[in-house]
Amino acid sequence: MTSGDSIQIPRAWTPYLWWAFVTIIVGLVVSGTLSIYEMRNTQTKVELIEDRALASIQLAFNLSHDIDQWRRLFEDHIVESDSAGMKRIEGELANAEARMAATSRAYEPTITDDVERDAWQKLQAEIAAVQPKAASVIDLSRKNLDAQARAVMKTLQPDFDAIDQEMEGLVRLNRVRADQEVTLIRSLHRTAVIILAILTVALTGFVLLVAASVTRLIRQRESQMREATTLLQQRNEELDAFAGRVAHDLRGPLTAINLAAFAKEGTAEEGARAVFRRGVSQMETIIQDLLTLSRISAQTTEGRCQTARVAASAEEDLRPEVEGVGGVLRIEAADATVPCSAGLLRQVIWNLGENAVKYRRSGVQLEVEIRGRITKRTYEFSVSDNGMGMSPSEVQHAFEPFFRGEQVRSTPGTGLGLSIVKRVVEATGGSVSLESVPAQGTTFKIRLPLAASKAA
Amino acid sequence: MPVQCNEVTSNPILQATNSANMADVLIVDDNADIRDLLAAILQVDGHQVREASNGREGLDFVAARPPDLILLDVEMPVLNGPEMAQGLFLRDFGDEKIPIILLSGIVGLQEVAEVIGTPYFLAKPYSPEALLRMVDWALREHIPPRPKLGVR
Repeated sequence: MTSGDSIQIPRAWTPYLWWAFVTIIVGLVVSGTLSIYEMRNTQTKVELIEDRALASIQLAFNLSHDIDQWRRLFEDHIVESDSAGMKRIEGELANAEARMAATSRAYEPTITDDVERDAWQKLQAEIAAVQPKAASVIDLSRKNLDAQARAVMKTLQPDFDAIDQEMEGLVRLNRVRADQEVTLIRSLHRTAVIILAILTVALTGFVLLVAASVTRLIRQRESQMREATTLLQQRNEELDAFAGRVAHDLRGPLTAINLAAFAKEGTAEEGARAVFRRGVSQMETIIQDLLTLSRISAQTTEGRCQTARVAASAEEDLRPEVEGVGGVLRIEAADATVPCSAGLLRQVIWNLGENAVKYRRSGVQLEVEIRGRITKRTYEFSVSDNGMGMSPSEVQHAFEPFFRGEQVRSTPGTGLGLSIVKRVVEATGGSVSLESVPAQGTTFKIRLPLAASKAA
Repeated sequence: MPVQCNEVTSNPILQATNSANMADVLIVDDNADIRDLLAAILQVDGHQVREASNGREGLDFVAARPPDLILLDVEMPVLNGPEMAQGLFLRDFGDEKIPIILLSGIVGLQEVAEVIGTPYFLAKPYSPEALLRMVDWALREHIPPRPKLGVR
């Protein structure tokens, strides 16, 4: 379940990943909605201000118009000499003054700042200043003192000009403010669009990123699953092949026994009994080896042993075997504690030693050397012989159950010895390797982990 | 003349029965016990027997003197059963006409028999009676193997 080259997301993270994803999306949507709402709110406010500015301009225009009309009515009053006509014009004058007052009252609340207020108050003051003089113009006109009235009107001219200027200033002020607000609205609008675009891009990017990582995760899982399936299929095939091998190897001696049992008088009684014995012991050995092979993992995990003691115990059994065929056995093992049961480690050394005896070269004195030494982190046993050796293809299959080399098939054996060695060593967390040269010899190397401490 | 005629007509029949009863059988098996037991059983039945311990030896024996029947194991060192059968077929010295009885404990023996192209095979463990029946049958029918080349 390890893969070094790709980012590994732990299985436990997967639900959190989805929650994080959902939370971030909800957060983005909420903040996006809020910012849009705020933007619209601001825009509404600005529109309100703009409306008010436009209303102010309208009112200022109205006032200006009223003042012009008011002024014209003075002129009309001076020209008019009939008293009834004068009365009518005075009525219109009163109306115009009432309109001016109404417009002024309407304008007052639209004032937004001090600059505008100052300008407004100045205008009011000037209008107020004109009113008494205007009243005297009407008085003079009523007495038909038109020339004097005109003279007074003339003196009023600068005041009216000032009022006009003040009006213009007021209108300009409002227009500038309206322009400013329009600019502000436009820039707010632009900002809103930009923020929205950024949010959209960020959200899309994030979603793509998460989708990509989730896809990669799924793909990774799938490939892991495929690997596991392949491994399982391989194991199944191996198991099938293994069962086939067991059947085949048991059928051999069984056939011999069967033939010997049914054989007619041609076969000697003694010979038949020997065949029985051989066949039964061969099958017994196969069964024993199979049981050893299957029990290994359970036994090795418990127990520790002293390598020197195991080597000595293996030597006791091996020496007679080696010397029985005229060979030389050298054994030398440094002492250390390894995490393996003594019985199984002894079996490993015995299997390798026995192989050396079984597959010796005829005509060459057998030499077997067993060495145990402590390396940095491991304990290493090496078992060397000067026997037949194996071809490279045989070396490749040497540890497979029931595999037997071409030239050793006639020698008795189950083909399970080396697979037992491999399983014992690997169950302790160690490793086994072999080097072999045909017709020169074979060296097995077993590396076992060192147990943490002797006291433990 | 009639006597001569009688002799001439009876002679092939006599030879045929003879060859069915007394055949030259080659046993090829790497298990010495099984080899010896098979030889003993066949000799009791009146056959002449030779023993080879692998396919290479088997081919040598056939080259020295072609037998009437070959009892062939499948898994053997040096040269296995199917390889030996293919060797006989490829050599094309008339040896490919010799019927072969396949004897093995391997799983899928029938498939191996199909590859070699022989109708005669016996799965281990078999009884001596079954073996003798198969030997008689093979010697009577005399169906030669037809190996599928290139398939193993």
